[in-house]
Amino acid sequence: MTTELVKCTALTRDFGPVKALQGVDLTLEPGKIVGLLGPNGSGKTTLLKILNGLLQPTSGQVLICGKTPGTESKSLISYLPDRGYFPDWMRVGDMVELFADFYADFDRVKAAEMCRALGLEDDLGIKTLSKGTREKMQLMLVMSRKARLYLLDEPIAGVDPAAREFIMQTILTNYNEEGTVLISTHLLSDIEQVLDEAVFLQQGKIVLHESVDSIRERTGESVDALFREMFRFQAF
Amino acid sequence: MLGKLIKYDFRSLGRKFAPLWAALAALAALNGFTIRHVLGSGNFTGFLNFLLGVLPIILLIVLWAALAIMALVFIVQRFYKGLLGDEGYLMFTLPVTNAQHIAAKTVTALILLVITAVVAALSGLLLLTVYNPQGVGDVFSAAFRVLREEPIPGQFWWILAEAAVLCLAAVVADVLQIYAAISLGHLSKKHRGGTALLAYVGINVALSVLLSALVPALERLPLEEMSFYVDGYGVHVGKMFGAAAAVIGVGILWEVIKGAAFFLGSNAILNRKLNLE
Repeated sequence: MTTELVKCTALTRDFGPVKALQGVDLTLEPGKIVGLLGPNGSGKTTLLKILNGLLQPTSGQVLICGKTPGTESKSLISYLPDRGYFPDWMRVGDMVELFADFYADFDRVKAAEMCRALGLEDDLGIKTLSKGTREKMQLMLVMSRKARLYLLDEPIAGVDPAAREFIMQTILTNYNEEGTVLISTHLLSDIEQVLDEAVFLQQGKIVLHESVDSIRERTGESVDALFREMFRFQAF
Repeated sequence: MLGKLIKYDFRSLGRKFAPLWAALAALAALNGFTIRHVLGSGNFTGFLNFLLGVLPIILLIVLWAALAIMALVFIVQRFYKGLLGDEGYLMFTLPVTNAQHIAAKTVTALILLVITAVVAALSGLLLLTVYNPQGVGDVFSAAFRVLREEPIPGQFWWILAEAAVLCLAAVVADVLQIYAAISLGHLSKKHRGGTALLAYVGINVALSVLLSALVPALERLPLEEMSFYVDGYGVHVGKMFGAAAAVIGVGILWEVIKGAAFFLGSNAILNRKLNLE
């Protein structure tokens, strides 16, 4: 029985002449909070989409709990994309019911509690909600699952500091501790304290995968400082 | 899982179309009442009489056309936006296969088109019934009387059943052709909508060429000799009916083959080339 939750081997993905991922080897163990860190365009979203089965790799292999991405792996993964995905005809209650219908690990009680906290009534039309509330609701649905792997794509990008705190709090108080959370971001300072491991992605290649404690010990500086140092040359 | 997908597609369909179907029925009844009042009152003459008598019928026909276009737009949008737009990030991460997604959309589209056709027919009947209940009643009782006196031969029912299956198979194949065209459009990096439109036209041209090559082969079938029994029902389908049954049967086979090709093609594209924006 494998203990590897995620195993990527020599993973590549090309978009025409653009090489979004170049020979990515990545192994993730259960029970970790991992930061997938890199500047815009470094391949973070592409990697998450491949793990989800939303994209096929050009070459290489992905295994989730020993299986290639498919219906089985999708039932283990809870994914928060970097955009809103609600059908505009739906009401809040429809979305909660949809998650409960399709995911055996969805905790309806937890979802109801979070809906109450956000002031979301079941019969509220989704298109009547503000953009910020829709984002929070999406996160609430994703974190109401007791998933093996949470893939969170830029959950704190483009939101104000108060919302960032709410989002991080929601993630930390609700994730399945036996599972792993992979958070992609380029806003490291807000999440560094909660990370167990950091994966630095640069131009489609993994340039660093190490535990946060080990990075601090080895370099004598914070992960955020190391990140800024490594990617400084890319600033305009 | 397929049933669950269909449940949500039905819900979206119901929220959009149930009020429209109800409105169409109400308008048909209202129009029947208007025509009856105008034509029966004698208050209006000449062109005004004609206009008030005909306008409600034209309005109903326009609404039928509008409803048909809306159904078509709905079918395209539920696949284009509902799977290959931002909603795809939700739908394609559900633990279901892509084949189940396509099947659910196809079943929903078929039900939508069948209900829309039935509602359109019933609205016409409702208009006539409100306008002239006696006349409609007479037509129905005459039809039942004829059927009682001279029952329709069993082989004719067989042809009718085959024709119904052919209609449904053709609708399914047409819907799947739309999905296949949208899936082909998805292969394009830019202008996916335009490419899908071109793909749809291209498929039609290819099918026309293929059909024109196949028709001569069909003509060589010994249609006069087509004759068979429907087991257990004692129905003998022979001679002219046999030929008609054979032709419709070939039509069904053609639609099934087309539908299967479109289904498998769309499924292969979604499985291997899915690339949401």
